[in-house]
Amino acid sequence: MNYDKLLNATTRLGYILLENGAETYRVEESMMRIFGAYGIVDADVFVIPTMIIVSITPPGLPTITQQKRVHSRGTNLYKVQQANSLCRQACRILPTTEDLERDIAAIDHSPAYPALLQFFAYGLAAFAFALFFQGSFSDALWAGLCGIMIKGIFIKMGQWHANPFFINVVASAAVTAVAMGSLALGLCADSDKVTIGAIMLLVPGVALTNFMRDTIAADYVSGLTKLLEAILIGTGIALGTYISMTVFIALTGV
Amino acid sequence: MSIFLPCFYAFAACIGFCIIFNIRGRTILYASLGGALGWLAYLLFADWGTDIFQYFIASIVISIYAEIMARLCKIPSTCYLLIALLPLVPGGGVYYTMKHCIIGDTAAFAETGLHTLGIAGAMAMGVLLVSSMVRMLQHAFTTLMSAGKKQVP
Repeated sequence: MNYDKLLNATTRLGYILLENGAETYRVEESMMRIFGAYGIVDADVFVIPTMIIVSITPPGLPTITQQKRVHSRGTNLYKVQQANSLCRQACRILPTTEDLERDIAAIDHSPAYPALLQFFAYGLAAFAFALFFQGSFSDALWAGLCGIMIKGIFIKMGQWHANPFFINVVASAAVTAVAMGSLALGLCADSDKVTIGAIMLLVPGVALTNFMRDTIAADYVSGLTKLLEAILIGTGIALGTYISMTVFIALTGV
Repeated sequence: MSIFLPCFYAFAACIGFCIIFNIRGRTILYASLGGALGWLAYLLFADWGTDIFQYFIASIVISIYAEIMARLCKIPSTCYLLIALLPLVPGGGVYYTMKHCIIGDTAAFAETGLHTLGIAGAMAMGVLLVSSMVRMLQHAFTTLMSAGKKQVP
């Protein structure tokens, strides 16, 4: 048994889980379970949203430690689901480290949906949310367009390495500008509904939910990090909307 | 019809978010159904008091649904929870709070802002309650199971 390789593979599995939106306790538990299944009783895993620290003491051998810094975090629930089932499977059949590494690499390289479908999904979500908040059909159409625009902004600004706060400011400012513009041109019934429908794509629902889940599991450091993320995103949205509205009102006097 | 149409909109919005979060297969259907179910619960409890209570009930229903589906399909409950809770997030509240602030209507700003915070708090409490119960029951169940095994020779 090559414990170095096992440690590497397990840390990478934890990294995938953490990077793609799993809760802190799930990452820690998954890694601990794999170590336990391979007979390493003396293992410690410490996870916060930006860092993984693992330390194992294989029977009769010195302790080995690994740290992994997590820089980017997103939400890819398919990878979480796959990594979770790989963990269950690994604990049951105890594959060789080579097999484990191969399976983990396969999860890491599993493809996302095609770009066109993602644009459609942003449009669909904004369209449906505008109707959901009692907007008219024309409001929903404009919200859908704003949704597609938001995806475009995400992609472009992501390439320029803008930080999430600034991306949200720009996206919500653009959405508000389009919504108020379409109202001024008489193309939609209520610019509020257009904006709300599209802004639902930006609201920190994931960060808020993860904040609750982490806090329940008594991972307070992770919980606070997620709460801060949610507050920052919320402030960004408010700021973007504020800028656009103020400029628009000053220009048109509405 | 007035009840089912908003639920359908919530369902459609959740499907969009499933693709955004890269969920695949039948989980898309189940997670989005959770969103619709949550809003159905919200609407059914419309006569029971304030809408804060409605949000509380809806998030409880969604959390229970997510935990049950997670165990049936062997998929982390987050996958269902993250999607199904989205229609409850008070995006409208945040927006109107901001709008009142810009217009300069301080009373409406404070009222809407506090109300939005209340909704977020109610959601948090709902999720918190169910998740804590589930974690406790899980431990209780494992303890009972292992105690049962010891008694059998």
